[in-house]
Amino acid sequence: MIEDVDAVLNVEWVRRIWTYQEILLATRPVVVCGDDHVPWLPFAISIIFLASSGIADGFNNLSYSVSIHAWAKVALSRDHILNVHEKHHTPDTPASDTSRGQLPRPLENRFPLTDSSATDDSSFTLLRRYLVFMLSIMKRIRYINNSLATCRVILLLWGFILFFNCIGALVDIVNVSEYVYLASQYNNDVSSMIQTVVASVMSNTRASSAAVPILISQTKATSTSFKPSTATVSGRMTTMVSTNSLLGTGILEVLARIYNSSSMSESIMSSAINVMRTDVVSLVESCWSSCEKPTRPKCFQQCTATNTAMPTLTHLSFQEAEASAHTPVLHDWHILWVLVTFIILVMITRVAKWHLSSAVTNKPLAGSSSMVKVDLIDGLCNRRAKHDHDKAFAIRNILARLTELDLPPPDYSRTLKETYADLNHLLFKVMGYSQLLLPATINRLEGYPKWMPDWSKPVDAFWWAQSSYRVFDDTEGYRKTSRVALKPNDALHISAYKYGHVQICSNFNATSNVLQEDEYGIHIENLENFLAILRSWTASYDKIYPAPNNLLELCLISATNVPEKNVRRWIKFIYKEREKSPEEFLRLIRRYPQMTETQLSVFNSFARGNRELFWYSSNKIKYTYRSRRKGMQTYTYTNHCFGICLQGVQEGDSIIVVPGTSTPFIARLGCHLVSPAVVRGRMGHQRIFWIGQYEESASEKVNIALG
Amino acid sequence: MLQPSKLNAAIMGDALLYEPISRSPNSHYIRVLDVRASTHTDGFHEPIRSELRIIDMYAVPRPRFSALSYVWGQDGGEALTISCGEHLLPVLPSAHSALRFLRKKLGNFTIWIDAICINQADIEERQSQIPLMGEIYTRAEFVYVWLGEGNNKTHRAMAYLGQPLFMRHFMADGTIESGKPMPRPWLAVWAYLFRSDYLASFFGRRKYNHYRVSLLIERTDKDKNGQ
Repeated sequence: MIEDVDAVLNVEWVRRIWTYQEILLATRPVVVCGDDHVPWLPFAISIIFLASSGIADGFNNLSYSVSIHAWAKVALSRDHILNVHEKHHTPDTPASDTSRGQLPRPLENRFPLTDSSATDDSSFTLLRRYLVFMLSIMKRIRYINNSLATCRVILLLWGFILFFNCIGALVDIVNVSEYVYLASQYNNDVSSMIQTVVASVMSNTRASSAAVPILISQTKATSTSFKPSTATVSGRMTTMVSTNSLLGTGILEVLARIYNSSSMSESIMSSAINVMRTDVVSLVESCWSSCEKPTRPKCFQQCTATNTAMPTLTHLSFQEAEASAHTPVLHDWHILWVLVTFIILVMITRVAKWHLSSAVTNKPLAGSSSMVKVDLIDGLCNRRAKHDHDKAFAIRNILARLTELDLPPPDYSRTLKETYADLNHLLFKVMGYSQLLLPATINRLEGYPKWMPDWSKPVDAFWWAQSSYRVFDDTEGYRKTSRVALKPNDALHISAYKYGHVQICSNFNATSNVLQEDEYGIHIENLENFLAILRSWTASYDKIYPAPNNLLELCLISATNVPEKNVRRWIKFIYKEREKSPEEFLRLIRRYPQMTETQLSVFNSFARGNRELFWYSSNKIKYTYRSRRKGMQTYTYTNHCFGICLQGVQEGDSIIVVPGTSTPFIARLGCHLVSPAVVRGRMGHQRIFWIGQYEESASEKVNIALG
Repeated sequence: MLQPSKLNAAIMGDALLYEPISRSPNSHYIRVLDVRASTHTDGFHEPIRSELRIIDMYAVPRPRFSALSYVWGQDGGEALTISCGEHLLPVLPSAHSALRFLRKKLGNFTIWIDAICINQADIEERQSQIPLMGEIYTRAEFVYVWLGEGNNKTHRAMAYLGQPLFMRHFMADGTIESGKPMPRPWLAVWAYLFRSDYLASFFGRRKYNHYRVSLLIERTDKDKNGQ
């Protein structure tokens, strides 16, 4: 599907400067590709979706990402121009509800407004609202995703505990409830039976035959849930019945009923029942035998003893049954704890890994396109024309509409530099200086003030891709305090903030992508530079650090075609072996062809893009915290961090933040901007420059004159 | 506004084709091309018949015309022509294919194309018409953005791009035509999260990026089922 969309979007049309003007000024565009017609509004919304959902950044495919963002910028710029125009020319238009297919709104009030289109009227607000909507969705999803991922361990652990708890509880409930029910029934039955027997014996010894019906009816009343016995008694009982009187028959029948009842669980209860039965039978037998004799007091004594012995017996059986019900479960818990600990360990390692990789892949989403209103700079840098003059003339109409000025007609007879200087003045008027600085630093217009870019030279997409990550909003605080002045001699005076200075930088020379003997000298030189920067960075710390993660990130964004896994492995390896000499290291790494290949492609990506690797120290950063014992505490620290810049940066150059711009710059103070900078890592993250409450203390004000 | 030299030479011999046009700074006269529908229903490859005429952009009632936004493309290749009144007018391949596809869809239509409607041989006319271009594109009823002839891939992609996602949670009544936005981001997040592949990605079986892409893929699957 990505390839399909790419086939539509990655076309020559998006790279020409004339079409840029046409689409920005069109009232109602329709995108046509073969037989398919799509009106602009749904098309633009889809583009905004693709750009803001991060799908474009999901692939490490720079060209795809660039084309999506180029389209998104067209959509938003168009939106803005329409908006400005509407505001200026029709300030109080009644919202007329007309059907589609009618003529677009006229530009001036010379015409009746009945033919305005409702769709176009709302499209500009709609698009921007959709962008805000998408960004809020993605923010929430990212938030949920990140927090869930960090909570994953806890959730899983909790889930496991809950699960096994449930199983354990279930087993307990089944066993214990069954037992308790039966035991209580048993207890009730037997004791009430004995009581009845004793009572009947005491009241009327001879009338024992009359007691039996009462006994039977009482046991029936207490044990209703038991199945009525079919009087199948064991052989031993039968002999007892035959030899003994009716009283004994009654007791034994009740016992037999309980023993044979189907709900009595054989496995759990048999031992208890066995103990009980023999004891009960012997007791009842002794009671019966004593009552048979004429000596009444002895009969009474025996039967009372039988009655008091019953609870002890039940208690005994209770204990035994409980032990049999619980033993296996308790035994399983030991195994489960081992299992749970193992799972926790596995999950911790997984999550730790996830966090490392997410730092690279989970980029902030299209922050710049939501903030920059008209991105003419993108059009000028990334779109081509057959003649360089055309770049200025093609956006002439857009500028005329934005500035409300009558611009002179295009004049091909003027020199290119004059044309561009005029264009730069107009751009400054429309958009301010902030977006001009990046192209001007990369390609300066020779012989003119240093803030003027030369539009005829191409700008490496790398710098745009990096700058688009930053959020513009956060510079608001700085903007209030910053002063910008365009002097009569066209010199631009800006106040900026110095954040740190470059410690050491190393450049690389391009080689072929395989190790060749005739390029041995270049390989050694590249390695020497890289090892030197790594060693000096490590030496700036007191203790040993793990392999620098921000260096890994920089290598990844520079060499986009190398898999992350390989770069990670290579960085770890070279960091471990950093004390070796380049010759030794080259001998070592030759044993691993994949690592050699990674190293060469990383070095080549730097060399071919005219980029340098550097590391810098920030100014002293004050960090204040509240301690419970000592009260407010302040300590200062310095950040050491890697970055990428253009070739030509020297040691001691300053890293400055110009308010409103999307990238930090490297400046030779008292001179000019030398290069844009890309800094990453813990301190290189966007927050430090714009809103970091601690890091703010690190920035000192400097004035820069671009004359 | 630059011009391939070959085309220039071809038109210069045909000076009769272009009526002179007013060149005063405040004039709003432009030439437009009336393209005739093909005579047969499947006359896609029929030669294109058309006429040039001059109109005033600010006239009342408003003149109806469209404009074409396209890339001129490489100079050279096969020489393609359209018949314009009694003359044959050489055109660039990209404009030619755009005209053919548009004729198939629209039948009779009026269009402004820079390479055809401005007399490229006349430098003065070019200089006076270039400042008007902004106005032309703004006043055109439709501006057709011509991206190419397309294939199966682009057909699928255009179907996808024509139906933006999350409209159900963004517009008041779920369709883009109503024009009343009513964003409900939490509902959209809900719909986004409670899908099986999200859970799969959460438990580490898939990577996050794959999940994000699957949003796109789901959409095409739906389209296929719909057809």
